[in-house]
Amino acid sequence: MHILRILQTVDRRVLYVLLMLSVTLPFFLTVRLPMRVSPATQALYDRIENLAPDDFVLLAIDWSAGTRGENGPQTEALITHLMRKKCRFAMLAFEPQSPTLCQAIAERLGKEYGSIEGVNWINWGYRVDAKNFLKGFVQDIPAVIKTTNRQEDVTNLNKFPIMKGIKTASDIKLLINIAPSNIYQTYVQFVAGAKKVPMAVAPTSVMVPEVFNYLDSGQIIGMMPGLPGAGEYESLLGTNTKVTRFANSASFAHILIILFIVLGNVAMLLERRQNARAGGAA
Amino acid sequence: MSEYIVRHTDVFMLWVGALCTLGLYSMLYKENRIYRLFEHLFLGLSTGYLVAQQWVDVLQPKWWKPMWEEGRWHFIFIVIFGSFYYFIFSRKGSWIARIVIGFFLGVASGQAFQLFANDTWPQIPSSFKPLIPHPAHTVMVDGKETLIKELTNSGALNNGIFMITVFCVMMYFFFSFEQKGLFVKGSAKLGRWLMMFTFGAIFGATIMARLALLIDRMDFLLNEFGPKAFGSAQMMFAILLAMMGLVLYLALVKDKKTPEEGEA
Amino acid sequence: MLEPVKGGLWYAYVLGSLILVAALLAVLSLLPRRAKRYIVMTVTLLGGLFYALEFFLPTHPMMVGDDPNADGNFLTPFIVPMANVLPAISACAVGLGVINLFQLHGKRALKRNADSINSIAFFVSCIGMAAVWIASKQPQASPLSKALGKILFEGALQNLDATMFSIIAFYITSAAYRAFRVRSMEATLLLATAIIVMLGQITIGQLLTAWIPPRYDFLHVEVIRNWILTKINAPATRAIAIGLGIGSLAVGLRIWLGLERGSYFDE
Repeated sequence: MHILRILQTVDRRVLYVLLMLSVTLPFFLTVRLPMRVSPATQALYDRIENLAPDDFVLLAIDWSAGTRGENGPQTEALITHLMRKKCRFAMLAFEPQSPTLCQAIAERLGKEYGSIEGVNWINWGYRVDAKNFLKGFVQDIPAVIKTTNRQEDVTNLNKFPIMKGIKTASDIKLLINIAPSNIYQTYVQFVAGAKKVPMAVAPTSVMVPEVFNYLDSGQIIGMMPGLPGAGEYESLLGTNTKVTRFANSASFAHILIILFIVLGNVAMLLERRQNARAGGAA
Repeated sequence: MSEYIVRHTDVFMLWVGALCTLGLYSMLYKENRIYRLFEHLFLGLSTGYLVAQQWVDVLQPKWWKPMWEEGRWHFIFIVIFGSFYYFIFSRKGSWIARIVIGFFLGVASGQAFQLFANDTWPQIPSSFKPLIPHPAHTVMVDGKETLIKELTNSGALNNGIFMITVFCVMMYFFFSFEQKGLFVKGSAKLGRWLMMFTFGAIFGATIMARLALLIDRMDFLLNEFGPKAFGSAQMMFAILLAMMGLVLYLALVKDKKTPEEGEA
Repeated sequence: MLEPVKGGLWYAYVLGSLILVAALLAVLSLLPRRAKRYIVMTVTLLGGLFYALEFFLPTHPMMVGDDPNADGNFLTPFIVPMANVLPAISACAVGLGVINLFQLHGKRALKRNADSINSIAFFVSCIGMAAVWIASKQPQASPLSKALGKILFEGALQNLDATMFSIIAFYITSAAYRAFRVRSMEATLLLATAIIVMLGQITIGQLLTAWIPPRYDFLHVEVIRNWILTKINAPATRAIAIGLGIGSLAVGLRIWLGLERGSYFDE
């Protein structure tokens, strides 16, 4: 077969192996390249930085293990920042896996930063029917939340002093939605827009382009855009977790994909020119 | 036995995780029985988890406990109304299912006004941006001094591009009249080109989203599972390399003798 | 009447409610098809009326929950009870999907062919996961149920879920290589933007233009990426979003007022 044809029809398994190598090999590199912080990430960081200790933040966690690669590091970075700032925060999910996944992250980081469940943070667990739920939630948080993810009464202030003074959405100083879906729009419609609660989003990369619309209109005050956003946030926090390590793998895999796209196109254009010449000669 | 499981939970978790990961990745060579088995396990586990979580976090605290433990008998109407959904399986009684479905459709429609007012509406005025450059200054709004930020030449140009893009893309989707004439046709065409920037951006972002998931999986195999199961990440990498070599051999040597089943 | 009751009275009320609703449905079933359709349309209208009126009616300062500074109208105090009841009703629908899956895999498992083992695996994993997870969440859960819950959730489900979605990375790479060709102006613009966005979101990409002096910051790939996302992508997305928003409102109105035609409303 002609070389130009071969370049356009490489077996898919060869591509898969090369992709796997481009992702795994950089794990053994020790070089760490710097990442420039985007304005959207900086805005979210600044907003949390300006919160006072004990300010109440709602972490709307709506992700499953399917997007753990992006939403996991985002959640870690945000919880780290909130715990460092000694802010109180609650986690609420409309995705069944999320409370379990985030509970593990909060427990681990809580040990590191001396943050206590029930005092500094709380997991409200999983709920359904986001729109109807949030409509009531903004009016009377304890009456609608009722129980934690361990089925304990949230109005028991001895056990959950974090709930002291938390009555309505006006008591929430910042709402951050970590999600791979457009559930953030439901929060814009029924919490941020309805009760003027400042809101930020930590979407997966695939959602990032559409969130810029809400950033421009001011409906959202900041964003942590996918895995790169988590990396940028880590550089602001000065932490060095696996996200920094992931950056090298992402770089090499991106370059490989770009090379393949360029290769396929160059081969196509050259073949087309060759065919045109052959046609002209005939 | 139960004590052994409790003591070695972390080891079981790691091995089960690695087996599940490699079982699903066997699909990358080609469709096979192992992949299908793990695919069905995934379906079963996620369904079981969803049902359990729905009971534990929603139905138990919001329905069962108030009704059974607190004696609020009228909560039975929640499950009666909820059970209407199941009439969908009956040919004769399917209209009963439509009562509850219709009710929730109505609820969603009634909320559509709030949804529009809080989501779409604020985007309309914010699409109109200042186009004349000016220095920073203050103005009185409702008796309060408000700072108006400086608008540079490039800022004004960007605002112009923003407004043109909104207009042209809207024009592309405008079908109330025939798109003819240089202005209408031209702006619709420009709108289509401008949308390509968005689709390109979405594609580029999607690549990152998918790669992040793959990186997370490889990190699990190499840096979580490998060191605990085989002593080091390098050892696990060597095993992965051997697997990749096997796939390449099967794909490029063995499969050449039999026709390919299909391209992904 | 709605006060909590215990013992025999509780059973009497619950049983009475069930009999009452069953009798009502039996009577309504005798109605002609057209009348049933009107019942569904009326319930749809009433369902929407509550939230629409609550949103549109004038508000005045009033005590809502524990908030003395709230605004509302006579419907506002019912929002919280609705927020507790409606999600519980929605949650009842979880069984619909489960029944469908059980029907499908039940048939396959009974066929006793090569695929039966997969359907049996589905049943075992589904029932096992549900039983173990509910048991592990009880206040007096045994260490074994907790350990099994962890193994099934963190070991199996989490990894299967993450791996399943990560497979798309391979397919998208293969698809990009095969289908991403500069055959038209549109495709060229799309490809160029995709490459700029990809380079702008990785460290090596940013390194490529890092040598450009800060005076020409606008030539850095990450700055170009940000410009595309904020000045071209955001307004294009907005134009689409505004169209979608107006369209959704129109569809919502049609459904609410029973004007929508189609299999759901016509039959």
